[in-house]
Amino acid sequence: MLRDPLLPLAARISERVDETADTVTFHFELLDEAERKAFRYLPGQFAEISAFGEGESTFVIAGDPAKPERLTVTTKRVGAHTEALHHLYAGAIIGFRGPYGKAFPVAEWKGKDIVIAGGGIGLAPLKPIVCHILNHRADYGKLTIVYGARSPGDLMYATDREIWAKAPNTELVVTVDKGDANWKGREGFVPAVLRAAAPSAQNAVAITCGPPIMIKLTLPVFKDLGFPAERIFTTLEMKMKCGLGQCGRCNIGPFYVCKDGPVFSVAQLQQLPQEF
Amino acid sequence: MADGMRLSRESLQAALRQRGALWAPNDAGHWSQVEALPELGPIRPRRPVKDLFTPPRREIARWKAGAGPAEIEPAQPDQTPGSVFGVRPCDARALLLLDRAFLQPSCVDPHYKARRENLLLIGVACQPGPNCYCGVFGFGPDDKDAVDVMLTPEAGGFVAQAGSPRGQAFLATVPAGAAVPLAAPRPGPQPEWWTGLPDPKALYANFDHPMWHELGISCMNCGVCTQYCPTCQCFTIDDESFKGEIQRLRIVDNCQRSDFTRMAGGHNPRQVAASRLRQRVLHKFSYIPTQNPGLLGCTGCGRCVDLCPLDRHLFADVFEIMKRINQEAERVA
Ligand SMILES: Cc1cc2nc3c(=O)[nH]c(=O)nc-3n(C[C@H](O)[C@H](O)[C@H](O)COP(=O)(O)OP(=O)(O)OC[C@H]3O[C@@H](n4cnc5c(N)ncnc54)[C@H](O)[C@@H]3O)c2cc1C
Ligand code: SF4
Ligand code: SF4
Ligand code: FES
Repeated sequence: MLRDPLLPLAARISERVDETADTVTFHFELLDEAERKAFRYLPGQFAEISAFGEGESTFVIAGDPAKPERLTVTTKRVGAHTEALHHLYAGAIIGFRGPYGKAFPVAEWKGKDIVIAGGGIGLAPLKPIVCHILNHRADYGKLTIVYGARSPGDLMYATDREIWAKAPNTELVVTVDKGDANWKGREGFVPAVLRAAAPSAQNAVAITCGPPIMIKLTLPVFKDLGFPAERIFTTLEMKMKCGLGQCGRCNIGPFYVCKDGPVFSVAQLQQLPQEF
Repeated sequence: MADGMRLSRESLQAALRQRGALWAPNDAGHWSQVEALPELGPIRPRRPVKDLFTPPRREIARWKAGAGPAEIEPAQPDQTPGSVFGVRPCDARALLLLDRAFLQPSCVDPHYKARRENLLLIGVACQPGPNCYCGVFGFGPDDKDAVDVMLTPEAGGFVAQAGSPRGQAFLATVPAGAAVPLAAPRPGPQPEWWTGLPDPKALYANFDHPMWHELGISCMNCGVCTQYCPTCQCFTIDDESFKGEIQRLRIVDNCQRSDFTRMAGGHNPRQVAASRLRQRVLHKFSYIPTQNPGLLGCTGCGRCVDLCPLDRHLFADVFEIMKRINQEAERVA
């Protein structure tokens, strides 16, 4: 029988990682074996996650797309439902619907250099791209990752970053707005650090995700570095409920962000009304 | 000219009852299950027929608080076979648009689909009301394109014509009356305020026009216009718990509420009334036709005009302004 697309699948949290004071990563797996084995997703796709009885909200699937049995979301506590999620630990059951949305066109990026600029929780949608490139290392050129957070305590994905730092043909630049007594790394905002790193735009693709102000200031840097709007990608954040193009909520211009996005090129965004 | 089929009220009712359950508008204008064919008012009822297909409030699932995942009980689609009597062309045409959302191949809503498959739409031609304007969209009160059967009332019964193969098959089950030549379809009302449908691109190009703010001041964003609209599809998803039982619900929502797009942390791309009113106009007359050529987000039922507490006629105002903008552009060119 036809399954209600709004009906969540049950999933069990296998591991909880407290990334920062307000951000938790959950690794989980679908309980139904057939569903678990058949599940696939692409970098940039998202899911609707629920703490049963407390609501449902949208998170990008922030795992390694080559290991789709182990699903991951990284969640920042900002309201009622994310608060409820943060009361859950390994073993708890959550609801899952997905994958939804258009993915980053990683297949079209083969043979190109990749430049990633992420800020704060904006690293979550970028992580599956990095995993994909490292899984298919020979298919892509140089990978540059500029990642920034407000303070050393706000940096996420410590284990992943250790792997990325050692990966072949990969440059990882980590920066914080303001360091503390123990911080020996770089200080400065992502746009400025990106400008200083000056990755080549020749045969390269740029991707940026992070707080709106960071994206706003990063896009001109990419432009100055020579990236055309068609080769700069980002994700749009818009309130969502269904993820299916049914509930009408994420409509902006002729698009439903959940169905036609959330991944857009800057060239596509320039066609949209300046509503956000 | 094609022939229609004369049906007595009794034989139609018997055939419909034979087919299954029967829904029709009640005295309050809500769609409810009935035993006999009711007398209908002259125009569309207060509530659009979409209520039977995408109800204002429908359960997705329920479970006991603290229950394991095996105890989640999904709501079952209602598979009752039957018919809906008294559907008006504007409401039936609105379903064609809702089909685009709820019958998308990648995410079919099984509740909607079951109702669409099981319920025969029996249209009844209307006497247009003062705010109806279906005529501007090229159809009229006896339009049969979106119903299975269209009935034109006459003394003692109806003249029936099939609007679909399914309707044709149903009519074959009704004891045949005389064949009568059908009159030409009646054109729908074309009100004076109608100055022509603005081009979807032109509307979009005027996204930043000051008219939205001027019009926004005279709207209180109550959302009544969207709550009664036969084409509006928006909903929210909410969990409600009561006495240890939790329900996940799909509840109708509307774009005129400020909370509709308010995101965690307070950012709201449609903070002011004007931006929400603009969203309503642009979605119906620019975004929908851009995405679904041939369809619009309005079928001219006129409910939003009838029911606005401030007696506003938003589209009339917008189209008037768009007409002036066009004339200005032509004068300059
Ligand atoms: C495509 C996409 C991917 C996202 N990925 C992540 C991620 O990986 N990690 C993360 O921490 N956050 C992510 N978000 C934002 C996240 O969805 C919201 O922060 C979250 O829904 C807030 O829920 P709340 O109940 O705690 O907040 P409240 O303010 O109480 O929100 C109530 C409800 O409104 C909706 N809502 C509110 N804000 C948003 C929003 N910004 N986006 C979508 N729905 C919203 C949700 O249904 C939410 O449950 C993403 C948003 C989008 C659109
Ligand atoms: S019914 Fe009238 S006042 Fe209410 S939101 Fe619609 S146009 Fe505005
Ligand atoms: S916008 Fe108004 S006139 Fe048009 S279909 Fe909706 S309620 Fe009817
Ligand atoms: S989230 Fe429902 S239409 Fe996009």
